[in-house]
Order: sequence, then structure tokens, then C-alpha cells
Amino acid sequence: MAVLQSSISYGCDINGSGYIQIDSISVVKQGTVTVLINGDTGVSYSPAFPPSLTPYRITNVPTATYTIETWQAGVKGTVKVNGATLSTAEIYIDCFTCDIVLNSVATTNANAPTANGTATITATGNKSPKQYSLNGSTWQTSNVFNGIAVGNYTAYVRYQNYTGCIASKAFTINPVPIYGCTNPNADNYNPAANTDNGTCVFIPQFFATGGTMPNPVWIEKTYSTTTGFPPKLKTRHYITLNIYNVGGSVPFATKIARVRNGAIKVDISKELQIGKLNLSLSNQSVSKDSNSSFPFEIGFIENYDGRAIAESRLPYPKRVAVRVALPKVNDSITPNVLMRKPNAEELQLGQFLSAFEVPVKFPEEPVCLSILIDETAYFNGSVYNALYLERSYFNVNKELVQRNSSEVYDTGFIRFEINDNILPCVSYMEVCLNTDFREKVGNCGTGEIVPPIIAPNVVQVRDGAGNVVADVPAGSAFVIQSGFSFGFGIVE
Amino acid sequence: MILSIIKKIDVRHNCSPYGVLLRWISPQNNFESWLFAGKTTKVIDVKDSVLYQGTDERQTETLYKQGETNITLRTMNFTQKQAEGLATLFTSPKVYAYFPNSDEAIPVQINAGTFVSVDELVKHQTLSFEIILPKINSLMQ
Repeated sequence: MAVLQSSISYGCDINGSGYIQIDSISVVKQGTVTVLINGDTGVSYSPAFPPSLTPYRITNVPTATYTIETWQAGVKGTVKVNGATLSTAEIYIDCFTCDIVLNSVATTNANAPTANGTATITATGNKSPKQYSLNGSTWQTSNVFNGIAVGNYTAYVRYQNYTGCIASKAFTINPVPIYGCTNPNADNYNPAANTDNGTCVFIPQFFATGGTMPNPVWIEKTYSTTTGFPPKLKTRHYITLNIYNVGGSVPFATKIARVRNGAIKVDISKELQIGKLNLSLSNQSVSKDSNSSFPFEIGFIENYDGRAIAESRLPYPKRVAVRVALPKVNDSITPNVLMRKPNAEELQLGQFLSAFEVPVKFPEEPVCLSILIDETAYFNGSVYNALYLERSYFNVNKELVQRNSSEVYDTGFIRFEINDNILPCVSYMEVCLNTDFREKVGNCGTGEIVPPIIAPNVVQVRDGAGNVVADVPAGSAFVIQSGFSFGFGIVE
Repeated sequence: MILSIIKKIDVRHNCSPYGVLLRWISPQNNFESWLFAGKTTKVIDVKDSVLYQGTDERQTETLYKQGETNITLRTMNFTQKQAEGLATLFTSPKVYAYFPNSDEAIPVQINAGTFVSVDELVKHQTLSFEIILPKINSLMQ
């Protein structure tokens, strides 16, 4: 028996959208049939059609619970759904798909260590509301996070009603950039800088490798006083010390030391000091005395009972033996090492050594200066630097009239012998080691010469208290009671 | 970039033709020099002779004779700082002398009895000492 009834099916299509489909309509009489579909979210549909037009599909049906009724000319029929025939059918449509995407995280930097950075999360998804989190456990509805410290984070977003649908993205809160040199090995290293702007400067760094040896130079060594088994006391027990240049086969000095109480203690200062003295004057303007320093090693030959044991050499000494190693006049060793400590604010300048505070240079006579040059003055690990001995010549008005530079190739304890031709107007000269090559070819002004120093006509002789003992005319001698004579004059 | 101190060196033009220039190696491994332009006194010290007298002769004959030249050098008008520098001369193991009109460096010895006069109260110091030149060639017959 025919009844007024609509057969309904529903579900989600392949696009993830909900649909309600009126599959068929049965009627008892002809006339328009209306299917009333009301959702609890306010969405409603009321398709009306003659039975012959079915099936009819409503697509993009939003998620909701819907009631469905069949009406024809004021008469309510039934609805057949899922095999059940109902006066009012109730169905629930939910075609959710996890389509949420976390697109980006916009950040602002933080002033470390203050936590004042921000992050704004941008996400897309068809559903709402959304929730946001920076740890996956605490959620908020705002997509803006304030008060974030410098560091690495992960942003999360989810639908409030579908908490299992989560998207995430990693982001970083950077410190507010402080530009400068960030390399700790650079000379202009800025500990506060966090962004390197390529301004790092690397000045060659010099380190001490040695220095003037102490005086005296003691060599100490212990020896067994017995030999053989049962032990027999060694007789005529002494040690021969041969002092060599490193790698040398012929000793430049030999010393013998008797073994006392199983040990020797020998002072070899004198042997080192006078090892190879040789006055060499060069015709060049600057020359280096190649014999001014030398590493040395010592060979030991043990002698006892009338026989000698094969020579054994002392390991290579770490320090360079400086030929003349007496203490200074005031018994202090001047820092004579050209050096620069890492990251030190100021370069410790190498000291030229001279017994005189202000040495004197005579024309056609050389003047000598010594300095210890570390090998890193030339090579800082990556770059070879040229090094020049610079001599600047000034007239009495302190005007630079001449400048000469000579490249220095040697390291170690170097003695420079300066023998430039001096212009007649030069009053004094200044010497330094420079990494820059600077020269000046100068001339004296017309008639500009340094007047000779006039010897005094009369010299006052004073006693220890400063009292004048005598006025002595130049060219004569004055003998005082203590027995030594004062003499002066220009020439004999 | 300057890597060392700037060392000032005085230049003196007027003293070269006169006096005796000494150069000696100092404790700083350096040859220092000083021109002793004061009055010099030269003394030749005659050493012992080797004599021979024949058994049948009354005359004594000199076979070998040696002497050495000592020169007293003097200088003055130097400061106490310079005096300290000059003091290193007396402990130097090597001293060389340059005489006027000579390019040759002669190794000399400082007579052990010489000294330096350094008085802190006196602004300008004086110095007098004796150097011993190499021995004069032995004369033999």
C-alpha cells in the first residue's frame, strides 16, 4: 500500500562535505511533496518536488543535527532512513577533516636577558575557533604571545573542538642585534656584540720565546757513585762537559767537573759568554751579527776507574743562550721580548737594549742596538708580515730630514749595527721596528749644519759634597790627593 | 705599526778626528761605544829581558825584550746615567779601541787598577782609566 514517504541517505562526499540526499518519494496521490530539513544550528532546507525528480542531493551541508519530515498538502508522511521508517527522522552530519595549517610565526627580537620578544602565529583552517600554544599543553585563543625570552620554540595550533588536529612550526626568538666583532681572538673583540659585522681586526700577536739567560748558568746532574755487582765505589770519578752549538760536532768549550756526593754542579756562564766573540763591522747600513746568539747543547762524558763512558747529550734547551748574559748595571733584566698578549689592550713594545739611555752615534762609526724578536713577529699563523728597522734622522729643529728602512729577516736575539751616512745637519736619530716601510730622502737646508760642541775653557772640580775644589783650565791636568788625575782637552 | 720602543740616539759630528773610541760588548749583548776625547797619556812599560852572558865573556847580551803600551784615557762631562753605561766597560770581556786615522779595531785590555768615578751628588762626572794595547812585537837578536 502506497504511503507518503521519503527515503533519505546522508554522509560525506569525496570532498569531505556533508550531504543529504532524498533518494525517492512515494505518494498516495499526485502533488508537490516538501521535505523539511532543519538543523539545530539554524540551517534549514525545504526542497519541494514531484516524486519523479528524485534523487535530489543537498551538498555542503554543515555539521549539525538535522530533523527531517515529509509533507504533502498539509499531510505529514514518514521518512525512511537507515532502514527505519520514522515520522521525524533525526540525523547528525559531521564531515570534519584536519585541514589546519600553521603558516607562519612572526617574531620580534628580545633584549637578552630580558624576556620581551613576541610571536604572532598565523594559521589557516576551515573551522573555528582555533587555539594556540607554545608548549603543546597550555592553550590560548589569542594567536599573539608576549614576553618571550631569546631561544628556540615550537608553535602549535588546533581547533578548539577537534583537539587532536594540531599543526606546529619551529621558530626562534633572536636577541636584538648588537653589531661588532664577535670573534674572541680578534683584537677588537666586543663581548657584548652578538652579530658580527665583519669588522674584526687581527693584529699579529707576539709571544715570548726566551730572553737573556740568567747569570750564572748552572748545570746540575747526578750520577751513581758505584758500579758493578757487588757495588764497587767508582774511583777517579769526573765528568767532561762538551758545549756544542746545536747539531754541532765540535765543542766550542769543554769543562771538567769532579763528581762530589753523586752530583756535579758546573757554572758554564763564562763558556757561553765568550763562546764566539767576534767583532764584525759591516759596510752595509744595517747588519746583523750572526753570532750574537746561539742555541747550545751539552754532551756529558762520565769518567771513572780510568775509563770513559760514551757521551750523552743534554736535550735541546728551551731557551736561547745569549752570548753575553751578565745582569744589567742595576741588576735587573729589562723586558726585552717583543710580545703581545692575546686580547691585551696595549701592545707591549719590544725594548732595544743598550747600556746607555741615549747612545751616541759618530759619523762613520756604527752604533749598535740589540732586541729579541719573536718569530711570530713575522708569522701570525696565517700571514707573513714584513718587519723593518726604521731610522729617522732629525735636525736641531726636530724636523725629519732623512728616513731609512731595512727589512729584517731574522728572529732571536738580534744585534743591529747601524752605519748610515749621516747628513751634516742631523742632530739625533730615532730607531724603531715597524711593519710599514717608510723612507724619506732628505737634504739639509743651505748652511744648515750642527755646530760642534765647544769644549769648556774651564772645568770645575767638585768634591763629594758638591763644593768647588778647583777651576781647571782646559788643556791642563789636575791631580787630587786620592791619586787619580782628571784630564781634558781636545787632543794630546 | 711600530712594534718596538722608539730609541733615541744622539748624533755628534765634532769628535771623530780626535780621541780614542772604545767599543765593548755590554751585558745587553750589545756593542757600546764611547769617544774618550780627553787628554791621553801614553806609557811604554818595558818588561823583563832575557839576557845572555857567555862563560868567557864579561859582557851581558840581551837576547829578547818585550814591552807593552799603556794609554790613560780620560773623559768628562757625562751624566750619571751615562756613567752607569760606561761602567759596563770595566766588566766587558771584549774591548776594542779605534784610534784616529785608523779603521782598525785593536783589542785592548782594561788595566785592573783603573776605576770609574761616579758620584751621585755631582751632576757631571769624570772618568780616567788605563788601557793596555797588544804587546809590542818582541825584539830578538
